[in-house]
Amino acid sequence: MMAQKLPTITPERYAELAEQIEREVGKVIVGQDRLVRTIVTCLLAEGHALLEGVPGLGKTMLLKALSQAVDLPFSRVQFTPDLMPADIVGTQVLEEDDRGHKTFQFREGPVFASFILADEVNRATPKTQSALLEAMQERSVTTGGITRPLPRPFLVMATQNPLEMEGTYPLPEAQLDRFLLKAQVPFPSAEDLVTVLERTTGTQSVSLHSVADAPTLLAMIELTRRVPIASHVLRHAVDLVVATHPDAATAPDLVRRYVRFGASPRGAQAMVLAGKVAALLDGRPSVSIADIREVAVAALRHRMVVGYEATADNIDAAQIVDALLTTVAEPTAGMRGAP
Amino acid sequence: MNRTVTPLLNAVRRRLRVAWAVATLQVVAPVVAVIALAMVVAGRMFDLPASDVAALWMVAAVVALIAGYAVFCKVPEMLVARAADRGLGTRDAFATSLELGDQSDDDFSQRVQLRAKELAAVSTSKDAVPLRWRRRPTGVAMLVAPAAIVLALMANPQDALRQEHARDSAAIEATADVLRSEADRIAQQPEGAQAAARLEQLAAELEKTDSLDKAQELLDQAAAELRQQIGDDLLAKKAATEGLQRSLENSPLPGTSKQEAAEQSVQQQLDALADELPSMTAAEREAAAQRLEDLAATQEAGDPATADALRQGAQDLREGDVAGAQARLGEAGQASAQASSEAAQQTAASDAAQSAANASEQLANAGKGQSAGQGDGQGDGSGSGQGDGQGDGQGSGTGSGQGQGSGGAGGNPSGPVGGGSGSPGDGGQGGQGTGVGHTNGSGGPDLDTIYDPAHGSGGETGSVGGGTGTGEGGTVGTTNGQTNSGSSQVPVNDVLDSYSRQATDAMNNPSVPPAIRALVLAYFNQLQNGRK
Repeated sequence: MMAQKLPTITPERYAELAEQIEREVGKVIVGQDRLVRTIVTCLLAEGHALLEGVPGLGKTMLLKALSQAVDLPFSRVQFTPDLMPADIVGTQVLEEDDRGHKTFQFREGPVFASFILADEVNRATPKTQSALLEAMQERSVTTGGITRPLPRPFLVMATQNPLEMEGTYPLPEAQLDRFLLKAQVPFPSAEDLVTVLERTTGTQSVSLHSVADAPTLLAMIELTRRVPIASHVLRHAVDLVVATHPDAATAPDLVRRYVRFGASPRGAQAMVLAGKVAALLDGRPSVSIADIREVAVAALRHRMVVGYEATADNIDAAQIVDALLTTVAEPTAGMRGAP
Repeated sequence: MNRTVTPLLNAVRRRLRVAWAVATLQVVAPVVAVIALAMVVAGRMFDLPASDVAALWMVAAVVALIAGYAVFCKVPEMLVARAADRGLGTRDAFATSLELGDQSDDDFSQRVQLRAKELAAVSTSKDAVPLRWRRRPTGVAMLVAPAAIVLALMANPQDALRQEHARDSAAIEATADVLRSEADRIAQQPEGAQAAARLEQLAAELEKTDSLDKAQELLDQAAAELRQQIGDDLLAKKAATEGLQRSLENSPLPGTSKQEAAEQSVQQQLDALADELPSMTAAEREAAAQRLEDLAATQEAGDPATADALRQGAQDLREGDVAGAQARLGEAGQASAQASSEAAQQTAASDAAQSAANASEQLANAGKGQSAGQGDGQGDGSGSGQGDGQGDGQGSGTGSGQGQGSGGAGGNPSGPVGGGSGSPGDGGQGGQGTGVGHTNGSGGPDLDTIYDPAHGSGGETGSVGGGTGTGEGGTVGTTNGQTNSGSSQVPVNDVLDSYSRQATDAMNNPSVPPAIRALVLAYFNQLQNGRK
């Protein structure tokens, strides 16, 4: 892929564009502002999102709206047990040209779209899951000995249905680690549900406007990585990750009791990248400790392997991260009497 | 660092020092207050004279340490920036600005600096570092500290005890000083070095003790030890040796002029007589023999060895054995010299024992004065007198005694040695008189008053006098007289003339040996001179 010249984006423009994107998506996604912010954060941090929620809450609509807002192709893959890797990444097909010559041609799979909704990703076999997750990580697909890069930006939004676990293949820890953030898709409030019904059961249709394009998004992604972060903020991100390990001295009691394996270094990377996006979206030129702590739950909860004791005691990872944030408090100035 | 941010950070740094001091004080104050209270309470339960001051110093030291550390401790700039960020809620703007610095041309760095500058312009150090007061530790300190102060201001029952100890120490020290001056005096006496050394040692031992009882015990032990060195015949021996010396001074032996007799010892005069014997006539030898017999008679009681030698010498002289008489005179001289030395040693020991006894009594009175000063102010005392006498071999004896008493004094105990002052003995249980009669007139150190049984009123007067002499001619009589009235103490000047007259009349009795006569007269002469 040839390097393309990216437009210049200022932090102010960055925040403005992000707000416009969220506003456009918000036209069709009602009452899920936090979810929308999580997806936009993943987009601008060039990561992937894992959503968990019951069907019918607008996950597909969310990604579809996002693709329209930024004018990028979108594809949806419904993961089923018989789904094959080739169904995702594409396959070689034998084609005959006008002169009768037959050659293998690569037919791209849905992974070659910029936005991919991997619906109920835990229903596919691990082999098929691996194909997708490898593409997520490498941002390229290798078939027939040829490596084909995936488009940028490239955002995978995978969903898991927490209710029907029969016949599913829960994503292994190493694969979960590839998702930048994990968001819960809450059931909308009654007021929001009324609005949803009004918008979806009538004749009126919502038209979305494209507010950005791929080069703009890439420029925003580049700008995200340039946001400075102070060393003590980085250190706090590291402290949080270290404290997710049950054998760490700073680990809270909940971690010691219920966590089998703590978060990987990718957890700290995810918090920093997401923190940079949060700082820019807040109009600030640098990351603060508060930014790190705000994204800690979304960045860490799917990276900790909790034991069966947690399930038995009805403790989920989010509660453990909350306890973590309480134990590993925001560092003080280090002097008695100081705030 | 952005220069426009520096003033705010400097102000925050100062504020942090104050906040640290306040927070530390709140942590330390309850502990310090409790410790101070414990020290003050301990000072009232035990003899800890410096407890209140130590508590005050401890509090002052803690406050000074905290203040000093707050002023001089190093507060890094990054710490200041982070404190400002946390206090102002500026989301790490100052810390990031400080870390990035203003040297970078990067757009983000400039934006960070600009943001920090804008935030600094609208922020104050008070907002950044508010002073927090913790209720519980502050409340504890506010309760305990006033209690400690109030307790410290209240009267301390240990103060009286400490004052008493101070008085005891002062009394002991004063007693030691008295003993040293007595030691100096006794050291100047003939053969007084040993007794003086013992008093010096006693003074040193006294200075090492701070207990009145222990000091008295030491004094009593020393007095008893010194008294053991005094022979029963001290006074007789002293009278004999001194009488012989005076007799020879008044009436020198042949071979010695009057002027030489005043300067020569007995032994020298006897040696001179021995040298003169060969050239003497028979009449002169008979007169010398008679004189030697007379002298021997005066030495029987106190110095029998000299008396024997003199008598033998007289006998040899009568028998015409000049060489034998010369040899006996030499023996008599040596015996007299030895007796004189022994008498001097024992006299010094007696004086030292009396000094120790007086010191012990002084300490006892000091203690009584203290207790009386705190109580009803009544004094008490008992009288004792020691008399001595020397018989003349006829079975009759005369005695002379001197009582010295000091009334138990009540009243103000604030004297340097705790001795009370007030009406001495009058109306009390009677003065305590102790005294040793000395035939040489060396009485107690204080001659202002004297124990006089004739002046006792309403009480049982003590009889002082010598016992009946034995065949050997000398006894020492001792009697203790219990008086019931302090009026038995009379000024010595009031009775001295009467005593002198009575003594002179008694000395006119021809049965009194010349030596005794001279000794008694010399004693009263000395008293008369002392009065002048």
